[in-house]
Amino acid sequence: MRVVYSVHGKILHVDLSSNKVWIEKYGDDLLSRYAGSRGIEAKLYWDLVPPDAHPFSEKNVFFVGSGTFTATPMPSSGRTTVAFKSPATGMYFKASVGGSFGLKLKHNGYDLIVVRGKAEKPVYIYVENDYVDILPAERYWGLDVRTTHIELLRKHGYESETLLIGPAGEKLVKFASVNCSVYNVAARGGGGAVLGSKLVKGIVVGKGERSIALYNPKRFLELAMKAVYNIMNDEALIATAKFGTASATMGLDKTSTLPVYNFRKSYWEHAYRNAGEYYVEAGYLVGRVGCAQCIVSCHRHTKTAKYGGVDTVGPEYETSNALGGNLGNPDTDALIKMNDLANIYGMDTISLGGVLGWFLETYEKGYLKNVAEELGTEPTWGNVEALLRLIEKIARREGVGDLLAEGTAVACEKVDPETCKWALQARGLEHSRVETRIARAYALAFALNPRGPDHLHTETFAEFGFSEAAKKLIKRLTGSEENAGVGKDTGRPEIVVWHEDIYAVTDSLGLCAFIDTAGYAVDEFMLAELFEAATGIEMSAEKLMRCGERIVTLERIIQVREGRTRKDDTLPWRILNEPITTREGVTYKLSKEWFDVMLNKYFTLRKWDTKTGVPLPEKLRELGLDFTVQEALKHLSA
Amino acid sequence: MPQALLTILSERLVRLLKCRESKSEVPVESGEYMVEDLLLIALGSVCESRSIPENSDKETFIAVNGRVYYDKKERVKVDGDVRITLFEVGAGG
Repeated sequence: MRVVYSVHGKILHVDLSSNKVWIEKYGDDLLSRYAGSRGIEAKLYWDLVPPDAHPFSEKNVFFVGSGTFTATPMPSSGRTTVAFKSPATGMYFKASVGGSFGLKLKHNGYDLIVVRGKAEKPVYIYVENDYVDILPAERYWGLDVRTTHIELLRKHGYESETLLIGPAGEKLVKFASVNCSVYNVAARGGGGAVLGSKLVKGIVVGKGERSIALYNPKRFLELAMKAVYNIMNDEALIATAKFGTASATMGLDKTSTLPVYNFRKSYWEHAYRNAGEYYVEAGYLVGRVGCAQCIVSCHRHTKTAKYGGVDTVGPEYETSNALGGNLGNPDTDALIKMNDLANIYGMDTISLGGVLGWFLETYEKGYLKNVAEELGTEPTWGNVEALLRLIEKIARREGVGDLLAEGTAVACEKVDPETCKWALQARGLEHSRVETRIARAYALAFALNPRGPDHLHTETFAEFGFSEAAKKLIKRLTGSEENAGVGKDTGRPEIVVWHEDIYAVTDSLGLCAFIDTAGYAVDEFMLAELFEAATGIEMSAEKLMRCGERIVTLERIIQVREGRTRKDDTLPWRILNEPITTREGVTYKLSKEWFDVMLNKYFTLRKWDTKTGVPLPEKLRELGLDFTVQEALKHLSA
Repeated sequence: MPQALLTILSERLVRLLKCRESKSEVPVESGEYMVEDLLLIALGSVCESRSIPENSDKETFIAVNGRVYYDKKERVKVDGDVRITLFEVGAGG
């Protein structure tokens, strides 16, 4: 182990059960193998979380880390990663979040924090340089995220930063989120509930006085400035800056890949009400908000005078669709209110939209009829009065909210297994907002994703071919630009593999995935040069992508150890069994046979066993994951 | 008389259509119009070119009063001010 550059080489361990705090040092061995936070967290997860650990037990561990490029001059490098065993999926789960928590963490001299054990009373963790403490949080327990954030900043200084849970996390809502700087959300998988189960309201990092050293600052700065230039000239990122992530809405509507009414339709006459351009045109947008070190600033500062007045951040594309068209809701003012409620209560808007969509359809089909009385109104499509009440009830686990707080997979089984046919979930996680029966790279990626059917692991946005850069990437990955476009099957496994690998690297470096998987301002060649200049570790594009492959493979074998099999590589019942028809009248259907072909090809590319989906021992050894070989052999022979 | 309130959200379209401004207001009589006719009236007040070139047509969206119309032959009723917005396909993630 030698001196590391670009990171501190320090992991802060906080054990809530023993009230102990200690620092673990690491060096370039770990950094060169895993590139940074996400990969290191996966390795620590392998070491620390036993496969039988219940997500709400003290055996579960919550990891939070800053990226290798965070606190450097690299643009879009302020991302923070988290990892934990998910109460929604029962397996390893990772997420990446914006804001400035990761930057502040690094300013305080740490790359990662590992939260272990369980507190006896509500607490929060306070970190300022060498001072680390576990402080009482009873007075904040029950408060919403925004109020808690303001109170803690008032106490610890306005240059501090927070990572918090809301009332939903405290109530162990299965899709409770972890919020950084209030509006930047590690939303999926129920990380908020994991912290809630540990009685941790959050982590506060102080102003911090530590800086990091770069190995070759001059070269790094040259490359970072090139990245700035590329970002400012990337057409997708320009659109994202102007109109936010919800600028994707109309492109998806036009290609009939915009899921609405709980995935019963894939286009909508009111889609524009959920579009970033509409937020500008209709005057909802009052400003743009950026994460630390970001020059795109895709977050929206929005306001509405309706619904008691809302001044908030968002909604993003996924939220706009999940709580908009998905619920038949064209009321943009209500959408902004619903997004704000989800943020301050600390809930994932995609899963929230998923469970509400399931509930509306379930009610429509004659189940749970007594809920109308409970709500004081009929829970029908687009009835925002009912929807707003339901959100409050879920966050507090009141009445029907207690059922819905369990997530779609559990709720449908409890009501009637028949209703699981329209529960848009797989592996316990609600499906992200793209029509996977038509966008086929997304279909394969969602089926394989360790999180569940979700976009933030393998954003194969290039598949749409919306920009020239996207078409060029598809040509590079599949041999032809003709493979760009929806409804196509050729080259999908190759598209997925590349995106998985670069996404893993991007997360680990602390970068926003928009700059290489939605926009195309940087690629693996530039990232490798940056990595070498930052850390002094020799790196090539091939070696860096190998880091990505190592992370993806380690995450797979972690889940194999937790019980994942090839049977789990699937999508929701509706996606697999019901066709979808486009605006032009073309019908698409996925089938088990289609999946078998795609999965076999993917497993072959990965050198994973086609029968079981378990990474083969020779591949594990090749990647230096020898410590996982015994586990693989166990599942291969079984 | 109602006003047609045009907003062009794409700078590229402003250049392509040779518009003096990205926003304009022009009076329009009440009645029923095809979307393409409304667009013609609105663009006529501020742009040299009055129709979207065919090679850009696929990526361009026209919203009238908060609803996007893919078929420019569709008819819309004008009985008050009408908001017309032009924009291009966004590629936000």
